[in-house]
Amino acid sequence: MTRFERVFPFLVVALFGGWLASQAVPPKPAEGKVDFAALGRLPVRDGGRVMPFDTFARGTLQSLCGRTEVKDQAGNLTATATQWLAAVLDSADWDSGPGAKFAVVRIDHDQVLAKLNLPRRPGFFRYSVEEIQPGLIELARAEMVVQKKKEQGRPTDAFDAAVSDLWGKLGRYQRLAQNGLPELVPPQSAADDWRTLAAVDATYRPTEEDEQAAHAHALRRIHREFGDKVDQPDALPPQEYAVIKRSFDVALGVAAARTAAAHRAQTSPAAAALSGVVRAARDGRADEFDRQLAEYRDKYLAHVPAETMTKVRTEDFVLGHFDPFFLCAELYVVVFVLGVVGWLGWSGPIHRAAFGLAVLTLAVHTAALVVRMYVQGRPPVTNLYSSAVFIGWGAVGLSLLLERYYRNGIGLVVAGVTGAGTLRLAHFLSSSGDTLGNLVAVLDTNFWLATHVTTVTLGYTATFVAGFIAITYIARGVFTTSLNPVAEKALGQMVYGVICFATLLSFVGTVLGGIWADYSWGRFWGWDPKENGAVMIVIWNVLILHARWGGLVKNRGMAVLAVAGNMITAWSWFGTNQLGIGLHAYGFDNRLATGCRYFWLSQLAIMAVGLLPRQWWRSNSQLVAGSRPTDPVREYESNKTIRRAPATPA
Amino acid sequence: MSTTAPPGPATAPDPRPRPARRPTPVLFRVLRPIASLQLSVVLFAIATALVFFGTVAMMQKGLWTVVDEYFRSALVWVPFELFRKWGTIFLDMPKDAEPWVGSFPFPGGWLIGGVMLANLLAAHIVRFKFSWKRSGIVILHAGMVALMLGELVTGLYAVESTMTLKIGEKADFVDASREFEIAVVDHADPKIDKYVCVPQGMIERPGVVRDERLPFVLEVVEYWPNTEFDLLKRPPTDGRVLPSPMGWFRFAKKGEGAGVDGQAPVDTPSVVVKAVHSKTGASLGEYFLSALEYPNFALNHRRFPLPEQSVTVDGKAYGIGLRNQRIYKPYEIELKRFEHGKYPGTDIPRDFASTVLVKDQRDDDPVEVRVWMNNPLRHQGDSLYQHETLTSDSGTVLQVVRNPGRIIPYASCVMVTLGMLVHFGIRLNGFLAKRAA
Repeated sequence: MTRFERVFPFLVVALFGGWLASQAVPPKPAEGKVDFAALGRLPVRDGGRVMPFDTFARGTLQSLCGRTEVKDQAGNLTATATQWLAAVLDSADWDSGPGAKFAVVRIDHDQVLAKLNLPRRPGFFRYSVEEIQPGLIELARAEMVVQKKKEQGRPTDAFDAAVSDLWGKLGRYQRLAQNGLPELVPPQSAADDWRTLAAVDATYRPTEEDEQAAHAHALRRIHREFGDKVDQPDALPPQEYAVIKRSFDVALGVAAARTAAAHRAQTSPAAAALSGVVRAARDGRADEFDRQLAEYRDKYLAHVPAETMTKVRTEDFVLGHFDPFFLCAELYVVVFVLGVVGWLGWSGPIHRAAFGLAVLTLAVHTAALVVRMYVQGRPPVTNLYSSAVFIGWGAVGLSLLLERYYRNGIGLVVAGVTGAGTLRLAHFLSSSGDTLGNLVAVLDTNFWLATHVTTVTLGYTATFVAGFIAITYIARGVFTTSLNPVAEKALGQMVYGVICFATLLSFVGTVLGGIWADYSWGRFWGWDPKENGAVMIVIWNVLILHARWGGLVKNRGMAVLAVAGNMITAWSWFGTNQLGIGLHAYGFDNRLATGCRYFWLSQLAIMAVGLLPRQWWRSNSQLVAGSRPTDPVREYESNKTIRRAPATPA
Repeated sequence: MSTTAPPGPATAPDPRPRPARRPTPVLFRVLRPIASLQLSVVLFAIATALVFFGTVAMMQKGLWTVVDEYFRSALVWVPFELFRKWGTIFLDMPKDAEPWVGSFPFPGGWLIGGVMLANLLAAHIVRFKFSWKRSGIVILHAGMVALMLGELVTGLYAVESTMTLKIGEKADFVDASREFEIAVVDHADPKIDKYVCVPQGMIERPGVVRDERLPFVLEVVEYWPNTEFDLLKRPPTDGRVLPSPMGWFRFAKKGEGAGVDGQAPVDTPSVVVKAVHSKTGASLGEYFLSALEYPNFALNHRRFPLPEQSVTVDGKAYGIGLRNQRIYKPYEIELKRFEHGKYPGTDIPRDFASTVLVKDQRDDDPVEVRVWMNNPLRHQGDSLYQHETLTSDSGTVLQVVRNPGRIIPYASCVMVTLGMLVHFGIRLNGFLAKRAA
């Protein structure tokens, strides 16, 4: 081994370690600019959970537009989530305030766009509230039709679903702007609770002058909008009257909200201080922002428990701007590439580098998981999102364990694929809401979450790892000449061993689920779709093992069956959930179902490739072919290479 | 695998011709094909397919119907329509296309389970050889046999029921969840109501029900397995209608609820009966009875005050109604308190808990117990679980399950897990030792 070969792995790990560290340093604001990161660290409460302002902002933005920051059509960053939320909050006239300019509402249904008179923006799909505003009345009518259909139990179509979805998004946006969300004002005494700004404003009793001023403002507003005809309301046709009256009421509400907001110093000094911070941030007054933020932190956070504050800070630092799972996903791709490149040559140093990098990435992955558990006070898996993160973690860990024994690069490639794949999937799943949210009553048991859910998820993990090793086996055998008998034997052992492990875990996990069910509703086995999915995995793994013991299959057959195991695991993980959701509504979010379909098709294709006759495999000459006559010289040569073949295939 | 060789010290390959085999006992010759691993693998494949078909079938049918048709049966006819339905979700096939006709037969759960059991037992008889190496396999398969038998016992004997209580109420009976009965009640005695009940088996099909204790005969005209209903402000002109202080309930026949709808759906059975005077044969009218009228029924839960219907014979009124089959218990439960915790600032339920007073018939000393999520009360062979809440937390619904096979899965799981650990442990150990060498 040359010196460079010895040093190379360390260089690679140091390089990526340095990159990770650079990502961990919180961004410093430019001189004279508002420190939005500091605003993002403030605690707010939503869905019963106290979280960083920035986490709430990202989550909300994600649910509106599927991104955690605001970008324009050219892909340039226009605002971070915190900047955007600061602009949106506290604007009584929600559809024309400063936040309404950001293109954050995703609409991709052509008919809905036509209804709103909006241009199509293929590839971008995002529109600002200001742009949508003129079509609101049309949208409200369409939504009423949908509601009627639902009440009468008539079927709804994809357009209806898109209308309802958009209506819901706009409703959420409006609540945000008009302070109905989130609970921003922390408790100010032991008996006090978190409140929204709207709740604070509702405690203000307007004086007579306030009411007169609001009335005058509303009158001016409809004058401006509709002209002098509003002075003779009796002469107006009833329909037009209704429109003007609505406009008047809205303006009256806006004026009243503004008055209440202006009197927050009386109703709640904490709310006044907080809205001062948000305003200063929005207007870019950096000095005032710093001063007000310091004052707010000193005076008004005293009754938030210290432990909660620590959790909020930790969550913001580790899971917020650092975004560890995203970084891990990228590093796992590097691990995969290095694993494959190592098979082409210079495998020792490259594979050692990949292994080191994978261990580093797994360490970050683990730390982030632990932080999630600390913040939530729960075992690792509580929802679909966290199951993806955890399956990725388990798959990488198991693959690296295999790599440590076999040192042939297979564990690295599988770790890279499963790690990157599951974390990308998790990113997609995070759009469904707060990933650290509270759990409904029946799930409120750390014991069963820790035992059943964790074990059964590890069972899924092991089944996937076996399946992906099997894919490696098929791919190398058919498309490369690198599958020699030594590698084949190693791969076979790996698949077999992991399936044993998967059988044990999925069986124990499923059974623990049964015991939990017996404890929560007195039925050990309920045959519900999710349980059935889990039992299918168990039976399939058992089938593979018996087929192998009975000599019905050898390495190749086992590999093909293990790939089928991937299909069954995907069915159990995602497919069964889709059955109920997809049963009634047409336009349900079918991206997961579509994802399943393509995954299944890909696995079927791989199985078909795996079943190609051996003589078509490129590695066939490497594997001693007993079934057809071979050139004796070549056979001798290949046997020689087998005898000399190192544990790591070249 | 040979079963005939006499036990003796293991020898190196023997160059001499083998001694003539002793004839294989008939039992073994019969058992050997049953014991084959090929058969096991085929059975596993069929079982996987059956579970898949059953799961997809829950898109169309109720969970318990599927369990009865697919998993607790010998043979099931799987409709092709299932695959079309599945395709509408996963293959983007149109939802409103023509249904696919026809079906194909497939072995049901009990047949597969039975053959598996035979296969497993035969294998162990034929290949039985006690050694450390095989000890794990023996333990785990014994556990599997127990698990299968446990599911059989549950399928045959477990009874699921509920007990509905408002705060302060007590009850000494439960309502079976999936069995119904027509109850005719005589209120004449102010101290005690006398019931005559017609079990489910007699009301599912048209027929005549006679009982000497009643002065009239019931003729079942029609049985609806599931019913939909709406509440109207004005009396409607169509459909079956029952008046109530809240308005008019209109009923219509409906298909079974699907098993994949998140929570197991509740089907509302209804029945149309005619009452005929036993002696004169004069008609006493036609009655539409729906389970919804029963205050404890899952979709009613004391929300709809539907008045009791009655049959009047010779000036005497008998109450009549369809209700969940009533099972009396040797103990009485009284609801003292009910708690419903929520996460602060939200409506997400955090906890439901019922505090009840349990009083045995023999025992005069009532015991106070708190029953909450994941923490059932086990009493006299029954398990009582916190199940649901009545409107505005005015009371509780406890799930009451009696399953004689309750403990079997626990024992079998321990055995299977232990067996796997032993077996895989031995194998892993051997493998690592070989690698180290």
